[in-house]
Amino acid sequence: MEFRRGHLLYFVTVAEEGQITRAAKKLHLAQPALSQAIAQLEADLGIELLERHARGVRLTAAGEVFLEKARTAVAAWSDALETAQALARSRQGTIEFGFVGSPPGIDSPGSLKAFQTAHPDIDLRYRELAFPPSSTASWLAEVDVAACHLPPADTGVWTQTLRREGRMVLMPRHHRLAAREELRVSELLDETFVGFHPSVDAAWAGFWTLDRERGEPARATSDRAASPQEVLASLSVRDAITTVPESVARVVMNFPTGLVSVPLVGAEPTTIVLAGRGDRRGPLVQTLLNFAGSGQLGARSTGQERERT
Amino acid sequence: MTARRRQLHYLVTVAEEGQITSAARKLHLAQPALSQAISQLEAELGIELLERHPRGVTLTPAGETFLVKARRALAAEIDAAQTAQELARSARGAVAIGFVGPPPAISTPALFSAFAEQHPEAQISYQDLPFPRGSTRDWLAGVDIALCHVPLAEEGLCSLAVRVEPRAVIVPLTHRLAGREALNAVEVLDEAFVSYHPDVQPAWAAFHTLDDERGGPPTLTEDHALTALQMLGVMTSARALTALPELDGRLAGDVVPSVEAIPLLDAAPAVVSLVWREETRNPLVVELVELARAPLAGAGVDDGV
Repeated sequence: MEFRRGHLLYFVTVAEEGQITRAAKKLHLAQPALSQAIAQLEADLGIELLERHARGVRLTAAGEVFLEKARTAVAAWSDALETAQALARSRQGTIEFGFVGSPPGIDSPGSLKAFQTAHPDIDLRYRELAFPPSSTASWLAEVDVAACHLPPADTGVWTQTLRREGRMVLMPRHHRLAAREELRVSELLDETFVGFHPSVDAAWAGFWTLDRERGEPARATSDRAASPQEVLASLSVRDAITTVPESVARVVMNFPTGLVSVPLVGAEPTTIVLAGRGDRRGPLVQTLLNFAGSGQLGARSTGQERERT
Repeated sequence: MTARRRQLHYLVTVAEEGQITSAARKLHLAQPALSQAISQLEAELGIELLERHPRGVTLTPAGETFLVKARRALAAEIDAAQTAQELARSARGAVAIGFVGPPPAISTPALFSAFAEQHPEAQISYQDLPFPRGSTRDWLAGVDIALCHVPLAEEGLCSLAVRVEPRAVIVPLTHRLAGREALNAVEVLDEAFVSYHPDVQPAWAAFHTLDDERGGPPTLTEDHALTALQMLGVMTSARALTALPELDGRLAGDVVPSVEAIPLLDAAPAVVSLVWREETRNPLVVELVELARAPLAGAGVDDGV
């Protein structure tokens, strides 16, 4: 028995979205075409996978069992193809450089330029990443290396620390704390923070909303921010705050965002690392890591170090 | 097969064979067609997978890395397909019963005829399995339940002994031991035994070569057996013997006139079991196991012969 092209992915997407309509949108397919493909899959397999309801679809018991296997197969296929892409990049001398928040070349100018000067044969290509889900390995599947605050530990993922830096509080100009010179953690615990998307790793999100300092989750807006840009968008229209690395605050302040940043005192500093998957650590990435290890890559933050704990 | 899947299957075969020529033969393809398909895959992926040598091909380091992932993807898809087939059997009231050696309806008739009588509407199919190799779960993947000398126990798999019986050696009629009424283990330990394929689970193979009685491996034939028929073939051509559950041995002797079974008087007994996946959702599997457990159903361990 063989699956037709795309059918496993279609089924997994429908199961995850719980609606043919939403799944069709996500897959860039017309809804009738998707319905037909799922019906075809069911006929090929000789089992009913979905129960159709007025408001969407629900998995049958057999569909639940099959979903797990289908997911594994879909993940294994994309892993194989992403690995092929990584190998092809390595052959062409390209490093796909992921980042969260401020672009690496802007947050510490000069250092990446020095790398390019030292290694003119290596081409750096940048890719903005959303906040990490709990599986860091799948988050990093399409890049060779990423610069970000320490992501959730995961098997097969390495990290190399670049620097530690303090945090700033970001808020809209009209916020009642906007005029402060600096803020202490204890003053922020009862504030409303911008809410993160449920897909974002809970510990990562909690770091920015000071959950550990508070001992419980923050009061949050109904936003579901999955990337730095979405946090900024929410901040500009809400009476809410968030915390960010100093380097990110510096970049944000260079743009006319209408936001204000205030130094945060007494919070655990951020740990900016290079991270990547072990199976993407080819010779090019190693060259970059050696360069970073010699202290030449972003080890120095251009602002003042702020570690008053 | 989709194009991508076919290409990957070709790559896996070429890597295993180490030669385009022999891979093409195995795939029933013309050699230039296979070469072209691999080159096309390399062009599409933008990586070189193979290094071509005068005497064959080897994988490049990138090819090695990619092959591991490609194999895993193909295996995951086969696993999904097998699960789907299992679910489909369950949904239409069918059950696939695997076996090694003689068919269950012959070797264990009481249990399987009672089962068929209880479920006249069930679609019961029997599948001849090779000797257990690799993980028992993988070996069992194409069927719902299997009957055989008990394979390697694994988490998530269940087994139930349905026959515990003495072992017998089966020997070709040309063997010097042929014609004996019965044997003690010590009389056969130094004989040449049929060699099982290296992939066969070591404990399973060792049981059939009486390693437990000897405390080590015997003299083995050069040819390996992976199935019951191969075993009989190797046995007659190399005049070697093997040990089996007594009933299986007798049935082999009935079917193949050139071999005979001789009871082993003092060897540890053989345990023939049903083996199935703990998570099975097939009601017919559950009922077959129930029936095998019931002592009065005429299928308990006392009743094998």
